[in-house]
Amino acid sequence: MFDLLRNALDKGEKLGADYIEARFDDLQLRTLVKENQKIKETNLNRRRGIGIVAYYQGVPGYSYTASLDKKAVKECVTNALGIAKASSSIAMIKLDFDRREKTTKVHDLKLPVKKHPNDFELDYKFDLLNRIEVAAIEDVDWIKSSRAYYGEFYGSKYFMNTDGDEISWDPIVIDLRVSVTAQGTGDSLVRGVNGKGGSKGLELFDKKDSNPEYLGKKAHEWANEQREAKAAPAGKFRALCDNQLSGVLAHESFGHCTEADFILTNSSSLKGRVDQKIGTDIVNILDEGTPDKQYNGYWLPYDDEGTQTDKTVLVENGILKGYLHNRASAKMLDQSPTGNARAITYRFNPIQRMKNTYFAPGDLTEEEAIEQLKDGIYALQTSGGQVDPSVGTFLFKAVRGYWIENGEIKYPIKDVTIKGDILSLLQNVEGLTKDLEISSGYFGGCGKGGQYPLPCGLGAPKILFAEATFGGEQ
Amino acid sequence: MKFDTITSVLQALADDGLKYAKKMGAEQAEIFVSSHQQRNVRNQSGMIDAKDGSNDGVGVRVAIGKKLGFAATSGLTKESVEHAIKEALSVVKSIKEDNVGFETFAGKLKPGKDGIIDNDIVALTSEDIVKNTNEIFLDAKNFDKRIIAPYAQCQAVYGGHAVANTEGVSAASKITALILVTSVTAAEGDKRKTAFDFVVSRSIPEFDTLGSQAAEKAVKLLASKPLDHTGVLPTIWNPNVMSGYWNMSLATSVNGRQVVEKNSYFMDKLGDKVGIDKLCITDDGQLPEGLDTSTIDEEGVPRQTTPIVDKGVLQSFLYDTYYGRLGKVESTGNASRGQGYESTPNISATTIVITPGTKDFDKLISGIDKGIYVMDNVMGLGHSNLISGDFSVVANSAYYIEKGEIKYPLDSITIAGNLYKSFKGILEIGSDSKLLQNVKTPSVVFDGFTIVG
Repeated sequence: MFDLLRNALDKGEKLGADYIEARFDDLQLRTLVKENQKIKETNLNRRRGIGIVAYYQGVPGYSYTASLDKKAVKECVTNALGIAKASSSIAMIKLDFDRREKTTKVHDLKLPVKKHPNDFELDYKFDLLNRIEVAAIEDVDWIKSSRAYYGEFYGSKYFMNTDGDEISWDPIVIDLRVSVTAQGTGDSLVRGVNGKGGSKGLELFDKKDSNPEYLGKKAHEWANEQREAKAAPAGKFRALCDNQLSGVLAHESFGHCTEADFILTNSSSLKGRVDQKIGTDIVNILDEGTPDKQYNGYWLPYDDEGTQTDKTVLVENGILKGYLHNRASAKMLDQSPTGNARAITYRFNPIQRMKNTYFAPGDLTEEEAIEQLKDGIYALQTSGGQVDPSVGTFLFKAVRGYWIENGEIKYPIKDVTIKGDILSLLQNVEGLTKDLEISSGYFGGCGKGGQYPLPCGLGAPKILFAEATFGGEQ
Repeated sequence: MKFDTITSVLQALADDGLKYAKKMGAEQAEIFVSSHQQRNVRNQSGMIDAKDGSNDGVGVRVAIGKKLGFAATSGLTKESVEHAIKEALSVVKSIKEDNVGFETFAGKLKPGKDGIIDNDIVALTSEDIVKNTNEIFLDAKNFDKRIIAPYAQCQAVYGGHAVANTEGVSAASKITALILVTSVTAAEGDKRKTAFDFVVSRSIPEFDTLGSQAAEKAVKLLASKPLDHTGVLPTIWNPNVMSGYWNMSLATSVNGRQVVEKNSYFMDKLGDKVGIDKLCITDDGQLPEGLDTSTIDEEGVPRQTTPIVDKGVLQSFLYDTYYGRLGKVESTGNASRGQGYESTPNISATTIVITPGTKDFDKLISGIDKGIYVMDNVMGLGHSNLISGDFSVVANSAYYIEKGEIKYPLDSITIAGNLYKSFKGILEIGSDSKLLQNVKTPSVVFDGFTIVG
């Protein structure tokens, strides 16, 4: 494969490109879905093709092809350079960067796993789905519907550029989830959801806190609890957010604002704030390519510009330290490349995306955090939200929650929506628990510039906020 | 792939694939192939992201008995088509359980019509697309020095898709489209306001003032003030926000799958009055300018025009073949593949068309004594409760209306209401229809939403 990529590089240089990089993806994605214990989807996608970035006078052009014959690849190089040349005269921001002095040659880098999904039959995976769904519904009449889904993504990625880098590695992600809908009070319907995923082998689902029975049982319990839940109050409260919701805040409401393309184009509320205090002293936020294997992060050893990923410190003791870069934005802002140039498939050019973004843990236990919260809202899990990075405002829905009084859980609440702007929120961090969780998966994933869903890891401990704004449904 | 012969080339690929699938042992099979040349240029504050490539691939469904499998592969070579077929067959052979709702793929019917085809879009060069993007960009950027993040995008697409299946379907469709988008952020002191606008068209449209229009909206919003009011007020929503509103309010409620699975709020209301007399909604898969207009849907059923609400009365839901059979009705030609060849068919509207009224935008405003004008973008609509219809959104781009006049822009307000019940709370439907991605709607005035600001 490297021969074909080298061919493309030679062709690009001959045509006058200043710098050129070529990628080849051969990725396989499998989705299995059961609804109400019946098979709904058995999908298999193969994404195989070549992508070319050609630079001309500081402006990149991109093209791609699913065809692997030399003629198609040649045309692809011509198109990439053609659109780069067309753009070069009007681009106001030039994306130049220095050639690498030290190049990388890494072939067939693999994450060691015990049970690679490629070695297991469909039956094994359907069995996981059956087990998680059965555990989640438990044969009770108040569960109205259920959905269980399994996803796997793996394959090979090749990278080569005119600096002389030559890298190939094998990404992998697996995921198992369940969702049940239950009859709540009156006409209302409530949900219980749970799941686990990450860059792991299928041995993940043999563990006691992530086997299908355990995951399903929890979804069942949470749905049951939500049936009697009261509507969340609206207004400003002291708040505790669980690991998952806090992780999403790290990614969505904070992380995107640190992507350097947003900084360069005046589209981030964090522009010009490096070395400024943006959170309380205990706030530390990192973005790491290869988190420790005790977590369920996404394994990303190299980005799609061939940069080895690092452990990027974004916030240290409340002070903003830097941004997430590709080679060009790092050069422009005089920082080091962080390995955040990522493309979802060969059909897309690499842009600044997160790796595994997380809040570093603190020193509280969950009990201590609830006690310190005293009176307020404990918000858990999330079903998604929306962010405007240019202003920094966000809105997230928690799946469930509790009303806390006098440091004790009083009753479950539902329809919990947290909103506000990220900078005020970080100024309100009062405590963090010890238990960091990092998660990633096949389902969900991050969307930007039409590239969705890109696997990203996110994480946090539980975070105590002195104040957060909540919106009720009405 | 050459555009003038694209339908016959795609159809031949699908037909050949079908023969191969039968030869390999598929009892039933459906071959979907598509090819779209996509040239996309974005200019974000002077940073350019330019792309030119062809998205080609094949998606194959095969069945043995009631066991159903799907596999997709990028690329449209003989090898990639055959690879997808072999993979789909291997999936089906290893499945032990039936797909209980499945009988057959889409039946053969006479295809409908393609929408507008503009060969000028096919003829656009990379230079043309870069130039168009830059004109919109400069128009936005140069409008006012408070514009800090101008953005313009031009995406030119041409291509087609074909379907062949064991029920005798063998048909193809083609499309040309140009999508122009602009968005800006305006800043003054600590205040930031955003605005956007866009044009979607199957032919080359006029777009001279697209950038400056968005820029003007954002700059004006900088003078925003708090509303300091909580209570029920009339709200007027312009086409940009109404497109999202119609999408959310119809996505589940008239989707045949959700009707069959009993998640639709309207499921037992066929023939009932669900909206005001003036409310007429159609799903128009044959609207010449509609982006989803085509001869066949994405499983081979003719696209058609389906009345959803007529004079306020609920007429029909939208179906594909699978859920049509389960709902004991015919498909309405609404099978779509979200990620193209990588997805199996799902039910999705084509272009939702709201019949316009007689009053223009200014007349609508002049009829409001005290109310809110909502434009461009609301946050949180996508997280509405689609079972009950309850929604709560944050509007960052809104104006206060008093005595029939737009008075001043507002700081963020929250608007809450019910998507489904609001059809009966409509006060006016305007005459200012605009085509958006898959909605053609005028401005709409609602009563009954709670405003907090």
